[in-house]
Amino acid sequence: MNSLQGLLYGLSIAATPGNLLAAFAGAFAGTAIGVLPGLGPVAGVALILPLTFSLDPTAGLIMMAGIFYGSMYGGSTTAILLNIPGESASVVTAIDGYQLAKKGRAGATLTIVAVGSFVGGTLAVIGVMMFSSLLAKVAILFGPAEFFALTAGGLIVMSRISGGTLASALLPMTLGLMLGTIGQEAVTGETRFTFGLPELAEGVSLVPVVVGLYGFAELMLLVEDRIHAANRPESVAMRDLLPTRTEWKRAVPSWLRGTFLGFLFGLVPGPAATLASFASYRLEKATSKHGSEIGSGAIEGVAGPEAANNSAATASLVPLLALGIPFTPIAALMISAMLVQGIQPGPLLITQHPEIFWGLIASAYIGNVMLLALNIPMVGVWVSLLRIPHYLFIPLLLVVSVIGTYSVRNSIFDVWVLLAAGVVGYAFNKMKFQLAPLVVGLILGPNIEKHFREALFLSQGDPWIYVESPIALTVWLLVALILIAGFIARRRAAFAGAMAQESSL
Amino acid sequence: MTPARSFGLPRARRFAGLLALLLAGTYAFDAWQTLSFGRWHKPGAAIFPIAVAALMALSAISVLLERHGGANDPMPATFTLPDGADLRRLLSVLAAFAIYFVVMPVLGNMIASALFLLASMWLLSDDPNRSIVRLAIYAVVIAVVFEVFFVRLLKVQMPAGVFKQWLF
Amino acid sequence: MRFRLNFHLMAWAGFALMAGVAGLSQPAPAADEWPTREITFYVPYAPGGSTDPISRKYSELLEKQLKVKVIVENKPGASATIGTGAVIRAKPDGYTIGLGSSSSLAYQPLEMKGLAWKSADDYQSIAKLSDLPVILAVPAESRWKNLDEFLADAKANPRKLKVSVSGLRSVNDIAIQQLNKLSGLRIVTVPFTGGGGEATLAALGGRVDGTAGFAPGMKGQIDAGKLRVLAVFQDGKYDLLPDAKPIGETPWKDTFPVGYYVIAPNGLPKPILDKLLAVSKTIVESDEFKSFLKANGYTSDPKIGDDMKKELAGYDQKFREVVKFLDDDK
Repeated sequence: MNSLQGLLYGLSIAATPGNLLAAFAGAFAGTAIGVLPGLGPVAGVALILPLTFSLDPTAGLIMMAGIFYGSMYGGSTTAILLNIPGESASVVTAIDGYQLAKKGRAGATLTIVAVGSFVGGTLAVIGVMMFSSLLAKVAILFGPAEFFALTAGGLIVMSRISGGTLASALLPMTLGLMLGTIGQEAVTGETRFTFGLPELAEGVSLVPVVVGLYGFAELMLLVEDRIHAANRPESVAMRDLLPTRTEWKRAVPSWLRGTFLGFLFGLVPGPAATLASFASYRLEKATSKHGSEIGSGAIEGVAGPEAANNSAATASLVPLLALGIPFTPIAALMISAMLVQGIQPGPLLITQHPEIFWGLIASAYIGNVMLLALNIPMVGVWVSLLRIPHYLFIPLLLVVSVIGTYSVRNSIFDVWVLLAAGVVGYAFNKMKFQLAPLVVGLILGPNIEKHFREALFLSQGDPWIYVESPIALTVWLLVALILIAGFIARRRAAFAGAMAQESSL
Repeated sequence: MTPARSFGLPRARRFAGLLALLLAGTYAFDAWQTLSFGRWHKPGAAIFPIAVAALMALSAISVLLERHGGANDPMPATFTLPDGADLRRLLSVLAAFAIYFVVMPVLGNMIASALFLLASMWLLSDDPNRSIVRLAIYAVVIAVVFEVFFVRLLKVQMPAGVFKQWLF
Repeated sequence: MRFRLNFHLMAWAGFALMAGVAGLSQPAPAADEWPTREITFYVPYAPGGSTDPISRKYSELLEKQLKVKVIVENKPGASATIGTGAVIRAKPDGYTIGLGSSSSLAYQPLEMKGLAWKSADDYQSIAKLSDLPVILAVPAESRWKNLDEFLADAKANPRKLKVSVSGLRSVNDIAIQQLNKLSGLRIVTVPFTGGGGEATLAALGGRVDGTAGFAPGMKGQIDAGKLRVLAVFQDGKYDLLPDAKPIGETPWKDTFPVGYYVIAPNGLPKPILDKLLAVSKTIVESDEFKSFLKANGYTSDPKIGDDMKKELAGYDQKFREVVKFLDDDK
C-alpha cells in the first residue's frame, strides 16, 4: 500500500460517523482542557484514557489524538490574552502574544495562531505519512552524547531568549537549573534537596511554576493597581479580529520555518513541543526581517513557535507509529491504550493493523481541519472575555489555575508551589529579571544532567564520548557559530549606535 | 492616585545578587555533604549540583558587579511597590488564596471555590455599593459551573470534601 | 444595608448548620454494603510501561464485578514508592487500593529509609496479578545468535559487554546483577532512565551490546526482526517468545521475575477484605484476564491474600543478598 492509497484507506476509516464524532469530541474537549491554565495535553489525554476502553481501538486513539492537538492549541489562548501560558509549550507565545493583545491585536493574533497551528499540523502529517519509516531511523542516531550536545547547547543558545542583559537572564536560568535538581534524580536515584518533604521527592513540577511565574504574578500586578485594573480593553471591532494583509504576509515564512524546526524536534525523544517552540522563537529572532521587534509584540514571535509546537506534536507520532517507542508522555498513554486493547505497537503496526496506522494519520488531517473550523469562530468569544470586569475575572482565573495545577498530580503541594512561583515571578518582574530563562533552565536542567551522566556510564568514564560522534560535534559547532554571530551582531549594533551618536553631535 | 512606594532598582538587584550568592553557598555545601560523587565511570549525584552552584555564584557576582546609570542603561533607576490600601488589598487577596487551598481538602473544591470567589470579588471590587448578594450569586454560579464542567464532565480529580454526600 | 448584613449572617448560619449536620449524621461506613461509591486504584508508575495496562485491565474487571466506578490514577515517582506509600497510608475503608510490584514492595524498603513499609506485614496483601519475566535481547545484526555465545563472550571479556537497563537497581538491572553474582561474569549495565524506551533504542542504535527489559515494550521490535531475544529470566519456557532460552536451563537459575500485586492499607474491616479477596480471585482466575495476560507476555500465577504475602516475604532475603553484592562491587 503506498502513501496515497493508505491515506484514502485511512480517510475511509476516519470519515465514518463514529470516528468523526470521536475526532470532534477530542478536539473540542482538548481545546477546553488546554484553555485551563495548568491542564495541558498530558493531563487531557490521561483523563480521557479510561473512556477510550469502551470505544473501538481506532476511535479511541483518534479521540486521544484530537485532545492532543486541541489542548496544544488551547494552551496558547490564555498566553496571548492574559500572559498566562496554559502549558510549557506556550511560554514563548506569551512574550509577544501578550504584547500584541495589549496593542488591541488579540483577535488577529489568535487567528494567526489558529491558522499557524493548522499549517504546522497539516504539513507535519504529510511529512509523517511520506517518510515515517525513513524518519524513524533519526531517533536511533541519538544517544546520550548527542542529547547532551542538544540540551546543553540549547541552554546556552536559549539563555537570553527573552532579551535583557546577560546577568538578568543568567540568574533566573540558574535558579531554574537548581529547582530542577530537587527531588529524586533519575540516574542513580539519590534524593536531593527535599528538606525531608515527601512531596518534594517527586521534584518541582513544571506546570505550577509556569502558571505561577507568569499568570499569578501578572494577576498580582493587576490586584495591586486598582486604577490600572479598572481600565478594561475597549470592545474589539470585527475587523480587528482578522489579521491585516501585512500580518498575514509576515506570518507565512515564520509558519514554514517553525513547522520545519518543530518537525525535526518531534523525531527525537524529549519534551519536543516545548523545546521546538523555544527554538523557533530563537530562530525567528535570528532570521526574521523583523527580528529586532520580537519581544515587543511581533507577529513572527507567535506564528513561528505555535506552528513549531503543533508540528513537533504531530511529528512525535513517527517514533510511536514506526518504532512503537513512546518519546512523550502522550505517546506512552497511547501505547498503553493499544496494549489494553490487545494491539502490539511496533514496526509491524502498519502491516498488522493498517486501520490504526492510517486511521490515525487521516484523523490528524481531519482533526486539524476541525480545530480550525472550531477555533476561528471562537476567536471573537475569547477576545470578548477580556471585557469581563477585573474584580470578577481575576478570582475566576485564580480558581481556574488552582484546578489546573492541582489536577496534574492531585497535589495541594503543587498549589503552594504555584503561590511561591507567583511571588518570585512578581519580584523578578519588579526587579527586571527575565522569566523565560527560568523555565528553560527548569526544563533542560534534568535532561542535561541525565544525558551527561549516562554518557559517562556508557563510555565507562571516557569523556571523549561527548564530541566523538559527528552529530554531537556538529551541534557544538552550530552553538559556537550562533554565539559568535550574535556577538558580532551586537558589536555592530553598538558600533552603529555610537557612530550615529557621534554624527548627530 | 494609587499609593505606591518607590525603591531604587540597583540596590534591590544587589540585594537579590547577595541572596543568590548565599543560596549558591548553602546549596553547594549541602550537595557536598550529602551527595555522592561516584567515579568517572559511575558519576554520582553531586556533580551536577556543584556545577549549578558555581554557575549561580557566577551569575550572582555578575549581578553584583553591574554598573547602573548612564545613558545606555536599559533599566530604569527605580521601581514601585504598592502601599497603603493597595498593599493591604494585595496581601488580603494572597491570604484569601492561601486559606482557599488550606480548606479545600476539607470543604471540597466546589464550596471552597465559591467562598474564595466571594471573598476575593468583595476585596477587588471598586464599587462602594457592591451587593454581597449579587457577588454571592456570581460566586456560586461560577463554582457550580466549574464543578459540572471540569470535575463531572471532564473528570478532573479535585478534593470532594466532607460534604460530598449532600452535593449532587 | 441591613438586609445585606442579615443575609450575610444567614449565609454563615446556614453554613454552620450544614457543617453541624455533616458532623452529626456522618453515616457510619456500613462495611457489608461496600462499595457504595467509586474506588481509587493507584498505579505508582507513569503510563507507558508494563504496569499501566495491567492495572487498567484489573480495574476494568473490578468495575464490572463491584458495579461501581474504579478510577485508575498514576502516581509515579521515587522508584514507585510515592504511589505505593499513598496506598499504604490511605484510610482502610476499601476505597483506596493500588498496585505494588516486587520491586516497590520488597526491594525499595532495603534501599530507602523512612518508607511506611518494611515488610509484608505493613500492608494488606490482596492478590497477585501476574509475573513478568525480564528478557535479554540483542540487536538483530549482532554476532551472538544465542545465549550461550553471549555468555561465553562475556566470560572472555569481563566488564566489556554492555547491557542497557531502564535504571540502576531497577528490576531488569537486578536480574542481570543476580546473573553476575551467581556466575562470576561481569556484564556492565548502562542506565537509560526516563522511560520512553530509551534503553531499547540504545540497543537498536548499536550503542550497547544488548538490552534487558520486558516483552510488552520490546515484542514489536522482536517480531519485526530488529531485536533478537536471547534469554528469559525465569525457570520455564516463555510462551510469548519461545526462542528465548530460560535462565532456568543454565547453571544460574535462581532469578527474579517482577511480580505485580494488588495491595490495600492494613486494617480493612473483615467483610470488605473478604469481598475484595473473593472478587479479586474471580478476576485473576477469569478467562478474560488470563487471555489478556497471555497476549501481553505476563505470566499468570494467581495467589490470593496470605499466599501472596508468603511469596513477598520470600523475596526479601534474596534481595538482601543482591544488594550486598552490588554494594561490594562498587
